[in-house]
Amino acid sequence: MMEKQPLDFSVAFGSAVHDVKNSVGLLLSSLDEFMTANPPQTEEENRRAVVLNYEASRINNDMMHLLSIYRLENQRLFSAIEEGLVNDFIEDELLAHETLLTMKQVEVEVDCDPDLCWYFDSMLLKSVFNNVFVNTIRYTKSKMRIAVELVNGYLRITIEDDGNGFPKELCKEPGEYLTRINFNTGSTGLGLYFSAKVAEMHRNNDRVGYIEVDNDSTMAGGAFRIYLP
Amino acid sequence: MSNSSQPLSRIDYGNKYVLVVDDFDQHLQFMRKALQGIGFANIELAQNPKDAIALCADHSFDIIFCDYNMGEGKNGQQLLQELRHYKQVRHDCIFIMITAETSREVVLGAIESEPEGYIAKPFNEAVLRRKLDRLMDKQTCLMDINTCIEEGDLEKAIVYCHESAERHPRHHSWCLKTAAELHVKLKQYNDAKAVYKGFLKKRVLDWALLGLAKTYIHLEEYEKAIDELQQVLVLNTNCVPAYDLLAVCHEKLNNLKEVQVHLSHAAKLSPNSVARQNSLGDICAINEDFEFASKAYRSALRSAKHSIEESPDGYFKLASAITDSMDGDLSRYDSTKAVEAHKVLAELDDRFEPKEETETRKDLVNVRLYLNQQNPERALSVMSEIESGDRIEIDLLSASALFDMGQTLLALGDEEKAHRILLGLLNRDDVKETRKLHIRTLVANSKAGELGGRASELNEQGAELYENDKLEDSIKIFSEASRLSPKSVVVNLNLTQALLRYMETEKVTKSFKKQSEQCLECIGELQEDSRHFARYKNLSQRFDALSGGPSMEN
Repeated sequence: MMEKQPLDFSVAFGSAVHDVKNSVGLLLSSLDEFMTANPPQTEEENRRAVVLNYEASRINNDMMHLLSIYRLENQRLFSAIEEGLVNDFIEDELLAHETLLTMKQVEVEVDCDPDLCWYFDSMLLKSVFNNVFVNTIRYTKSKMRIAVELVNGYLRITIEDDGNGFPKELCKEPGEYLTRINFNTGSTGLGLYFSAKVAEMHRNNDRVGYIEVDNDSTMAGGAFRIYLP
Repeated sequence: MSNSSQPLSRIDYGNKYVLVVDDFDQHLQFMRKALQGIGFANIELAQNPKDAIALCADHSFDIIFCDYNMGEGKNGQQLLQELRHYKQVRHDCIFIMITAETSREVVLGAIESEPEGYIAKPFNEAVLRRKLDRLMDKQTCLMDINTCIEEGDLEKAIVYCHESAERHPRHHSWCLKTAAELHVKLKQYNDAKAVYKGFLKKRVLDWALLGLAKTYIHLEEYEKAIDELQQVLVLNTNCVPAYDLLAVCHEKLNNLKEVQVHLSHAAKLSPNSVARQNSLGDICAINEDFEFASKAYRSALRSAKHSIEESPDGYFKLASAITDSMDGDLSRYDSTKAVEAHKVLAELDDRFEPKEETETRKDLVNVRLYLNQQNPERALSVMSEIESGDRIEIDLLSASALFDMGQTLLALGDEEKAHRILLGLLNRDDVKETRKLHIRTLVANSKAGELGGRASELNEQGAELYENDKLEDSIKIFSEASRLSPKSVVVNLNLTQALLRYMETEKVTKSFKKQSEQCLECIGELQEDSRHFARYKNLSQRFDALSGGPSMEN
């Protein structure tokens, strides 16, 4: 008699995540389209639209992180560092979140040399930024600032806001983010854990990328900084 | 929303012609609306590559958006290659590949014929517009360079490259990369080296290392090229072109095992390239790893089916490799393989017009099939028909057909004739280097395994007795042959097979057991790359199984 093969959980999980991610992607673009065609008329409608967009973006980011971490664990996540224009990259990210930014009336300030080139894996960095942006837009009061500088051979991208700042338990040493699951606030630290991993995958000679999370912001809110060598 | 960076000039898309190819109707409709929003008036939509090709024949598109994954049939990459190959698109047509965010493999595979840009799903109208603006802006900035290249004035193009590198800092790297590539085209290898090395001083990046490696290959400094390529893999383990170039270097250095390893790696990362799968199959066939060769040729055929790269050759290569992977022991595996080989040859008729040469090449594979199915009479009669030249004169056969002929003659044991045909191909310009390598290997291997006349005769006699199930008689004859030619792998394998068959079906005797042990010992340790290895392994295992089991004599 043949033994019954148990369904491989990780395979089923992987394909389900993939499927959900595709659906959410379509949901997000349909939502964008819908909002452009039918702008919210009342304050209440706007509030609902923000919630819809925010939650869908969150699901999208979580799925992306799960897939990436699954690949990381199976040694199937590799980085491909290429030269890219930093300002173009940031612009694209802002445009991708335009609906949310407009609906929440967040003012964005970008401080970056338009011709500055640096070396990064745009696909990985994009998922880091999706996560940081969605959170910043969610928690800021009215403003968000993105600053790009070269510091000691690293590219430093700072994202700050004028909200209430990060909760204390998230402002910890890098590498510990994932252990800070708080079931009361729903914060898992998954996004920060992933961001730290992506930063680490950026290397140049003996320099390794890293992130900083604190409330040491010029705008009184939280500050997220990623350093890429 | 305020943005401190300078916005690019607003480009008027009203007079631009755009095509969108996507199998997903909802996405096509999204794209139409978004493009209209951006200002396009001339928008064509295609739901499959076939419609896209038809549209390209009628229109001169400025921009093409194409989804990479379109289900069955051609993917976006293959469509791009075909459109460019048949010059169905203008040289300045901007091709943008739409990919799923998570599928890095896609981007890896696409390095072979690069589209002008990528855009990852999901995206909105604003992202789409900015992407287009940037690509159009780049095209305008670099127009002088591209015009010179198009007109063939490469020297002037290089001058413009250096000028533009300074004038447009955002295109600095592109300009330097293009300058270096143009130097290579002009055979100015030292200039190319200088450009790459200058760049690498600033930052070690894969494209510069790859460019430097290519330059070393042109200079025939393969060891140096390999060093650079190893460095690329440290930066990016999935760099497909690095594996391809490593294979090129090792082929030049005659490390055929290494070639197979690197090509397998590249094929695993980017399985859709017909040319690469074919090269991999060829190398495996030279290394006599026919199972792997079949696998590669099968993939090549699958990918080629929807592209310009489909040819009868692919079918013959696959049928040949399957035939050569047979053990010739009438096993169930062998008959499955024979069925597949027949199927591949039959499919050839469905896809191509019949030609005399095609029939001859099919028969040449059939001869080997009959041999492996232990039907030498039929094999010989088909072969004599081919050699009579009734259907087509031997002299009129193409180089590929003559190669098949040489291989088949070798399988039949007619080495003299085989060598004459095969060695004749070495002087021809229409025969690729890899095939010449294959020929030299085949000739060398067959010379090494040559049998003396009498031993050869006895060997045939023994095989005939074995086929008629006269096992004891065949053992006697094979033993005689092995006395004449004690080091012959073929004879020893035959004798072992006869002994084992007798013991498996009749009874196990001490003396036969000892004799088979001696035979296997006489063959010694066969290298894994020996063409007899699979059979040797099979017989050793059967011998071990027999020794482990209970003896019927007691």
